[in-house]
Amino acid sequence: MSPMITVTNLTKRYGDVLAVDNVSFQAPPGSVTGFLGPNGAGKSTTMRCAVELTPATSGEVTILGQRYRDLPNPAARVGILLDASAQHAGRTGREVLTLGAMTLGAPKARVDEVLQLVGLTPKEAKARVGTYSLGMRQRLGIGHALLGNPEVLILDEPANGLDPHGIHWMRGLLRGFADAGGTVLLSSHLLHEVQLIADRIVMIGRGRIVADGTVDELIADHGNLEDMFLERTATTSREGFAA
Amino acid sequence: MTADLTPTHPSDQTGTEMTSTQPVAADPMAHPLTQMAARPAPKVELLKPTTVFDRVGFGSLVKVEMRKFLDTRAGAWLLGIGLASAVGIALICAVFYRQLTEITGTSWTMLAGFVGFGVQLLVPVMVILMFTTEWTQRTTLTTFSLEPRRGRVVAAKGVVAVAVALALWLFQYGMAAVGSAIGGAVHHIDVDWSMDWKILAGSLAAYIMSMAMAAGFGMLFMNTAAAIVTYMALPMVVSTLGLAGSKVQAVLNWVDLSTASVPLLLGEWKANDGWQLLTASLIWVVLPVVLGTWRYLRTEAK
Ligand SMILES: Nc1ncnc2c1ncn2[C@@H]1O[C@H](COP(=O)(O)OP(=O)(O)OP(=O)(O)O)[C@@H](O)[C@H]1O
Ligand SMILES: [Mg+2]
Repeated sequence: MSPMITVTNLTKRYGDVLAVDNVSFQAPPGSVTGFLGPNGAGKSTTMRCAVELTPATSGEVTILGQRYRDLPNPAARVGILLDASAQHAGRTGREVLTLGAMTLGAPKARVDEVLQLVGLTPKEAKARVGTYSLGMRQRLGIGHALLGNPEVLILDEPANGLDPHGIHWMRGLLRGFADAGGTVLLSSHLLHEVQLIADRIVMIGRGRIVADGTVDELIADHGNLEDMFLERTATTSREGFAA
Repeated sequence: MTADLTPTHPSDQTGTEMTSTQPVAADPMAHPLTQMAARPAPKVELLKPTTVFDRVGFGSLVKVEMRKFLDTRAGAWLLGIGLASAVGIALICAVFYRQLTEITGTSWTMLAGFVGFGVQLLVPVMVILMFTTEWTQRTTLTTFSLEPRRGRVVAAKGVVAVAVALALWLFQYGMAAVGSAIGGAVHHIDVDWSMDWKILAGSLAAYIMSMAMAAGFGMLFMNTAAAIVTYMALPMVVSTLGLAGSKVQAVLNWVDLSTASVPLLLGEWKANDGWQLLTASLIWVVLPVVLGTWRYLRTEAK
């Protein structure tokens, strides 16, 4: 089946910083693609370029065969969570979902379905997002991504702040989503978690691809993802933590 | 980490990863979202596919922006205070109606200037917030993911600003009528109810212009404090420059929007008034809106 996310020669330059340097990879349907790399490697920038929140310097990203902005009702087909903290502190969780549902055209009942799915209680849903813990914001963000009928999920560190129940739940959710034919691109620093969840890995360091393949292929020589990560990114990671 | 934590990991069954996949839309029951939440109570739940729009309509963008305009505490308070002040001022005017009419005459429209004082101060702040909080609260990430064609979002916000201007204008004149009716009845004064369409239309135009100016400043600064301070203070600073002498004032007549809009509110136009209003609104309204829109459409959302 043809890939659902195709990144082609994507470059993003900030002044003299090359945040993303000629990156190409694909995320196929029916699988979870883990997007890994040290801090500042360019993962978030790549994801923002994919949904055109950040204009790329060159190259392009297509999702479901089109540029994101050319998809009619794009957020109904592509669920996005880039930063759970990026919500108006003065709105309630329910209000945030309601605004999303109104834009996508999902019925009001969808908001309740989603709240229940991500495990936010009715009382929590009525509270302002400013009072939420990080994990609650993350749940709200995941819920927002699921408001439409997404076939693709693009999630930037969604497990960040989730409790063990939440992480376990999300693992099941993403697995079920991919097994039903969905496409997941997921960035994370939780390598053990990624090893459990992901089918494929794309790894970048200082804006460049350093590894791309199935989890099984990539850990064949190392036994686990962490050792593989530390080796592949040894030359691109920050200094100061060297053993 | 143990393998039994992994729910049916396809790569455990060699060779099944890519072959077992099906088109997503083919069977609604095979939809991905079939999992449950572990919090607060782990109960199995099926999230069914939902109906959605084929495309995001401009009408729903306007509805959503209107709702966002009012759904925060700041928005509700500002509007509430503005409206309450209009009611309060109208009643005060009614109480002192005799003294007022001795100065301003008995036309019902003359109350509108007083009644609108609070609204005209606070509602531009709401319009500024509508544009700036997207950046300060970083909701642009959501807003521009839902509608990546940012021009449509800006246009929807613009429609909201104009709709608000229209609604407040109606409210202001409505309260002016109420205040005049009460004042006239209590003080036994014959209110002049004639409609001066020039003044009514002119004040509506002034309303819309101040909303557009607020929108432009909000987009240009993308920062609430900077936009509000500039929106409020800069015109005043420019006006006071006129104290420097009549030569400066002669130039300012073409620049200062507050003096240039006076004919709009009085309905009396002299020789150059139209042209002065044009140049002043080009500077204060058109320029900020054009530059602000350009910035709003291009700035990276992160
Ligand atoms: N607006 C900007 N101006 C200058 N440099 C920027 C800007 N935004 C991002 N960068 C740089 O781009 C690089 C990539 O950042 P990015 O946020 O994509 O990394 P990341 O892989 O998501 O890191 P993390 O794991 O810490 O989230 C970093 O070096 C960062 O400093
Ligand atoms: Mg990041």
